Amino acid sequence: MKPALDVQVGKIRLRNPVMTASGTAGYGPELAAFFDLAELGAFVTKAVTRQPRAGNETPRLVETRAGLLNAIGLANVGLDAFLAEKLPWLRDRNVPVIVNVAGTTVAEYVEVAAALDAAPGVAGIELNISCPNVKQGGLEFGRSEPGLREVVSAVRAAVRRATLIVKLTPNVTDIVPLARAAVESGAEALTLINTLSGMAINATKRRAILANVSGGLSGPAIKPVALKMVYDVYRNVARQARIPIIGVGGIQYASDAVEFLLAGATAVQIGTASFVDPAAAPAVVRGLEQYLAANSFARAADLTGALES
Amino acid sequence: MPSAAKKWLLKILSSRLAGDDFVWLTLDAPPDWQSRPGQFVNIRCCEPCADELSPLSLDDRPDAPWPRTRGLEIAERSTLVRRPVSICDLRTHPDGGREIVLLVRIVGPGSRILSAKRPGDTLDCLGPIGNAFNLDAPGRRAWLIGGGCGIAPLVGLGRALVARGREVTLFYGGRDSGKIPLSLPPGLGPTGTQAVPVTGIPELGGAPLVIATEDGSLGVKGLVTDALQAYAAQTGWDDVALFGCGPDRMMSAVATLVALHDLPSCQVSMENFMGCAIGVCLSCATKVRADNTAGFVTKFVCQDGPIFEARDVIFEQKWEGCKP
Repeated sequence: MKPALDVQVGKIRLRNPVMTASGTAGYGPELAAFFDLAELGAFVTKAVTRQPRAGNETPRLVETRAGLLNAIGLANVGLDAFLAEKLPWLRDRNVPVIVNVAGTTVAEYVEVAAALDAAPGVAGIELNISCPNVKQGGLEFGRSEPGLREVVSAVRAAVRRATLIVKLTPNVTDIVPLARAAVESGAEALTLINTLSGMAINATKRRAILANVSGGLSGPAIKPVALKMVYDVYRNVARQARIPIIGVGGIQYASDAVEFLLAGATAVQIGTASFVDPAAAPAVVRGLEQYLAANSFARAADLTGALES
Repeated sequence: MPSAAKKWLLKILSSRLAGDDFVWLTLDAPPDWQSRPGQFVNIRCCEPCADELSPLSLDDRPDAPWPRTRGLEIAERSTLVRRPVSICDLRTHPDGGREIVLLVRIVGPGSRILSAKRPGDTLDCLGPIGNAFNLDAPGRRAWLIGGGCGIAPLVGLGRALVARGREVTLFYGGRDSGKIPLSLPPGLGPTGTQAVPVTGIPELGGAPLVIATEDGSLGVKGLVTDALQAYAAQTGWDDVALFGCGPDRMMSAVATLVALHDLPSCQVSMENFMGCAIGVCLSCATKVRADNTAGFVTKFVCQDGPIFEARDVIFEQKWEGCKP
C-alpha cells in the first residue's frame, strides 16, 4: 500500500510534508519552470514587507564550507505589488500558499498580516521575526521574550482565517522559552530555524566579504544545529501543546527530511538546496515516500518524533 | 521572469588544458538544445555527485563500519552551489552532431573539479540561462573586447556576427602570454604600440585578434583598452559596435571609451556571484542607471542579463578577485 504523505499544519492540510523555504523560491514562477508547484505540500513565499525594499549592497552572498552566507536584506516587491501582481498567479497553482511576513514595527507586522489574511488564496502567514540581515525590527522581536509576545499577540488578534506560523531564530542562548512564548501568544505552528548569524573574511584584502559584513548561514553546514533545536522544542514545548514544527536548515535529500521528522518536525522546508537543484523539493517528496514504504510506515505523520531512545 | 532553462546531463566529449590555468571543454549538445551567443550554463561541480550515491541507501550498507562517518556533505566532494560558465560556442560538425564549447579558468574549487572531468563524464548543467547579445546592434564593424575568461562568450558571438556580414575584430588582454588560452601561430612577439591583428587562430574560427599583454611580451604592451585605442588610431571609430566581457574594471574602462567616442552601442556581459541563476536568491544585483530619485534600479545578472548596455551599468567593481 502506498504510504499516506499528508500532514496537518494548523488549519492547512498539506498533501505532503515538503514546502519551500522563504527567500529561496521567489514568488513561484521561477521554480514552476522546473516542476509543478502542486507537487509541494505548501509554497512559502519570499518575505513581504509593507513597502518595497531594494535590499542590501553587493556582495550579498558568499559560499562557505558546506554553506551559503547571505545578506540579501529582505529585498521584496512590497505588500501592494505582492497582492496585485504575485498572489493572483500563485493562488491558482493548486498548492497552499504561505506568505512570509517581515517588518520593523508591530504596527507594520499587523498591517501586512491583516491584509494578507483578508486576501483570498493565503492559507498561512509565516511571521519572520528572525531575519539577521536588516538593521532594525525583525530579529529584535525574535530574540526577546517580551518582544516576541508583543508582536505575535498583536498579529494573532488581526489574523482570523489564515494559519499563523512563527519562524524562530537560532541566534539565541536557548530557543525553548521563545518557542513557548510563541505558542502561548497564539502561534499555530513553529518554523525552525532561520539562518545562523555568521561572517566571512577575505584575508588577502583584509575585508569582510559581504557588504553587510555579517549574514545568515544556510545549507548543510547548519543541519545538525537545526535538528537539535527541532528536537529540543518538540520535547519541551510542541509535543505537549500539539503544535506542529516545520523543520528547516540544510535539507538537501529525503534522508535529511526524514531526520527532521524523527526529531519532531511535522513538515520540512527546502531552502538552499533549491539553488543547487530547483527541483530538489519534489525529489525529497519522492524519496520520503520510498523511505516510508521501505520501513513499513503507513503515514508520514507517524515519523514525527519517532526517534528511538 | 520565469527561466526558460532546463536541467541537462551533458556528456563531455573533450577536455583540453590551455595557457597557464584554462581548460576547454566540449559537451555533446542534445538535439533539442538551443542557445544563443551570450547565454550561460550553471554547472554543478561535484565528484561524484551525491545523487549517484543514493542518499536513502547510503546509511544502510551492511558492511559500513560503526560508528560511521555519514552525511552526504561528507561523502561527496563538491562545491555547494553551481558555477555559472559562459557558453563559448555551439558548433555543428560535418556529420550533423553539435557540441557546446566552454572555456573555464581554473581559479577555485569549482573550476578545479571541472578541470579534472574527463571525456565520457557527464556534467549536470542548468541552461541555457540569460538574455543574449543583440546581433543587430548598428555598426558594420564589430569589435569584441575580452579579458581573462571573458573571451569565452565572444567566440560564438564573433562567428554569429561574421555570418551576418559584419567585419569582426577581437581584442584580448592578459597579464602575460601565459594568460592567453588560444593556439597562437608561431613566431608572434611584441608589437609595442602597434595593433597588429593575428589571424588563423583555430579557436576563433579565423577571426582576427589584437592581443595586449601587460608585460609587453606579446602584442601591444598595456591593457586591452590600449590595444583598442591603438587599433582605432589606425582605422578610426566610425561605424563600430562594441561587445565586451571581462573584469568590471576592464568593462568600466571600455564604457568610458564608448562615452568619449559617442559610440551607439556597447553590449557587455556582466559577472556577479550567483547562488541560483534562476532569479530567486537575489544575489547578483547590479545597479542600472534610471531616471528616478535613487538614480538607479536593481537588475539581476542571471535573469535580466548577463548582457547589458555599457552606458546603463553603474560599475562598482566589488567582485574582483573572487574565486569561483
